[in-house]
Amino acid sequence: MAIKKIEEMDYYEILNLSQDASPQDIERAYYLGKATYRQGSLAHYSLLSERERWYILRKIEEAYQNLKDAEKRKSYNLKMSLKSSDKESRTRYRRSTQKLEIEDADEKKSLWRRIKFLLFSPKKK
Amino acid sequence: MTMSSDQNPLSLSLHPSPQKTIWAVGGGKGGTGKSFIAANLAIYLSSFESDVVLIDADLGGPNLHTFLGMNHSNLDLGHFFSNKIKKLKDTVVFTPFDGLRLIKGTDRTPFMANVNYYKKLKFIRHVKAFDAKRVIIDIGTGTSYNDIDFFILSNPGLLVINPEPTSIENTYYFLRTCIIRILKSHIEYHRFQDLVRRIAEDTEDHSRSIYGFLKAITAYNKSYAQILFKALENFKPCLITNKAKEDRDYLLGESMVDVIQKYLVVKVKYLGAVPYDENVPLSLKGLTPFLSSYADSKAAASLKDIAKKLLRQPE
Repeated sequence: MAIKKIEEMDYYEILNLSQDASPQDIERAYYLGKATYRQGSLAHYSLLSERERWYILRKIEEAYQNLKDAEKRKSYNLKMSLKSSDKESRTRYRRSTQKLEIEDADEKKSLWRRIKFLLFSPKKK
Repeated sequence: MTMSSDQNPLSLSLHPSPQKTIWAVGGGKGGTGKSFIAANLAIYLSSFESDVVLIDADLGGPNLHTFLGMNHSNLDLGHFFSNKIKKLKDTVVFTPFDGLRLIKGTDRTPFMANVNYYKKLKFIRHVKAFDAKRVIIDIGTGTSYNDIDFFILSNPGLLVINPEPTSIENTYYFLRTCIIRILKSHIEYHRFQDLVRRIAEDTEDHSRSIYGFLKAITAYNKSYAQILFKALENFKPCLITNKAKEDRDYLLGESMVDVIQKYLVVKVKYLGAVPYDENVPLSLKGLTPFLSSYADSKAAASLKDIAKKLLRQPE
């Protein structure tokens, strides 16, 4: 379970949408968000400070401006996928390095020795 | 010490077999229509299912029987709690509806709202063992341990709200209390004793900081945090708006789901809104159940729709 602060949420999470949301979904989520966090809305009564309310409204606006425009959305999605693949590849690299150093190093070396021995050792006549 | 989060720390859960459902109707604020919703959901279910049991666990002020058009009966929950009747099932009374039985709340035994922990566990054990496919519990107003525990342990708990500031305020307070109860009970069960003090300090005094508390636990110990995240993930209450009048009242439930998810880190499912109907007080005055007398009303259609959504709920 990912528990995220508003500041850490991406545009889709801010609008409570999946990444394959249609333009109509985006439009609807935007208007629902605006209605939810507008001044005087009952939905946030007693729970949010004025500052929190103002901040989430700003984030909703920002998310909508970036997702409603097809070009901006495409480049945002690309940025998101690059970010996640970069994170993934860095994780893999780190893991494989650790594994190589701790567990596999000797074994690989001995395997290479065995292969070399099989391929290049002079055959007994 | 077990590190599994699947077990419920409150020694008994109300999660029975998959074929059986136990819904608890609650929400903190009085007068929102919890008993109205509970009674009419039960009446509707009993129109196509033969074993529905309605339990009036509003220990401080029971009146579910009135919503069913019934008068006083000789048997009630007070007999069970005072050990005059050993088995909960023996306190059941028949209702005017074929498939529906009722366990009436007691208005004869004073201080019944303060039943102790062992009586509560006994009650939960008997509810779980009850021979009925659908059990609906109408829990009391407020945030006592009993109310909160009946709500947390049901599958799912139904929050009934009105489009009014006082109702919203009390609903958020009720939810926060549920969250704190869940976190505390898991911490105690898994013996994270060093965290008990911290959760009390961080969440009770500054109840907006549930997110901050969970983040702090994650930094402190990831496996502890996983258990607590999982416990909160398993808490999936549903929301019903009652007495909706304007367009914005119908949107309120969806909006609250978003606010709760973002700021209270709990996923709530919105089941729909029941429109305000001036015939509700009339049906009460006439001791005629609403769903029977006004079966074609918009409110009745919404109640049926909500019941259908609940029956489709995954376990």
